Amino acid sequence: MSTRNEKEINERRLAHEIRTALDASANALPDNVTDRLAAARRIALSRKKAQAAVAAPQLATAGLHTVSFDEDDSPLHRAGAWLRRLGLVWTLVALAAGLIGIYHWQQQQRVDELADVDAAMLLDDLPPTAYADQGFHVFLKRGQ
Amino acid sequence: MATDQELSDFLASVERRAFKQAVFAVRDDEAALDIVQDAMIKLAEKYGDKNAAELAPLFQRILQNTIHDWFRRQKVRNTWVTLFSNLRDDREGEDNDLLDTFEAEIGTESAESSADKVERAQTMHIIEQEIQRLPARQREAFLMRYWEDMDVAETAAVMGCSEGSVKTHCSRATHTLAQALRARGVRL
Repeated sequence: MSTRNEKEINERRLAHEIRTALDASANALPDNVTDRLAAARRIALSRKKAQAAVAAPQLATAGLHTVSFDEDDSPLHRAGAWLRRLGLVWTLVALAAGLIGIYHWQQQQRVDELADVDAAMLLDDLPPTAYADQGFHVFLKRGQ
Repeated sequence: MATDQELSDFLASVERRAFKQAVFAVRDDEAALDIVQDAMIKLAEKYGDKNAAELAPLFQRILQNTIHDWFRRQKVRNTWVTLFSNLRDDREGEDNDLLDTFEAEIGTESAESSADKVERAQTMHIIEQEIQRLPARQREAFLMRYWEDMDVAETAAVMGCSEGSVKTHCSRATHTLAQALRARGVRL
């Protein structure tokens, strides 16, 4: 147990000495390095400000992109908003036209099928009234 | 939420140590400066709204991840650049070069203080070299625990390993450093 404690104490003592040396080394960095670090710090801080200014309205209007576009008065953003709206309208118009077209095509198909059946019945040798006759149906069943 | 001043103070307090940590890992001053800058920007952009007390472990995690990303990019880009960088740095790291530099300063300052300064600088340089030679995980654990004053749990969280592993890494690092420094005649 005591050996373990001694080991830990030695470890901490050595770590402390190394830490002192590392601190001294870090404090003796050349000027060009400290200047670059200071510049990096300034860049990081400027990014924080930019992020904070944009983040608040974006979070407040999450899901309502058109509002955030309207808030920006630049011509480029207004044009972009118009194009987006126009694109949405055209998509909806195209979808509606497609649905109407499909409906009309199906109706026409049904009319054509009924017309074919009617034409076949009218051109047949058997008169159409025969189909309404009960006795004719019985005759057909017996024949099968 | 940390104010701009608090964030600035925090970055100023850690930037030198962060730079040295990055240098120990990548062995290239320019790359280390880029890494520290990236880490600072990431911290400010993503965690600028955190409390000042939370910044230290977050920054360490970002710094370590940025260092790992740098190694990944280097590996993908071209391995020979890394090899060249290592060779160049090893050559620059020879004791002779350091002594030459400090010999030039002897004439400008008093002999006694210069001798002490040279000895201290030499010891510092040897320590840094031996820290650089540590396996990456041992070095990370050692520096975070004993230089960044992070506790075992925080270090484990940043390194993504168990607390037991952190203790093992630290113990091995200290043992290796003690042996290496003794072998090079450095007494701490």
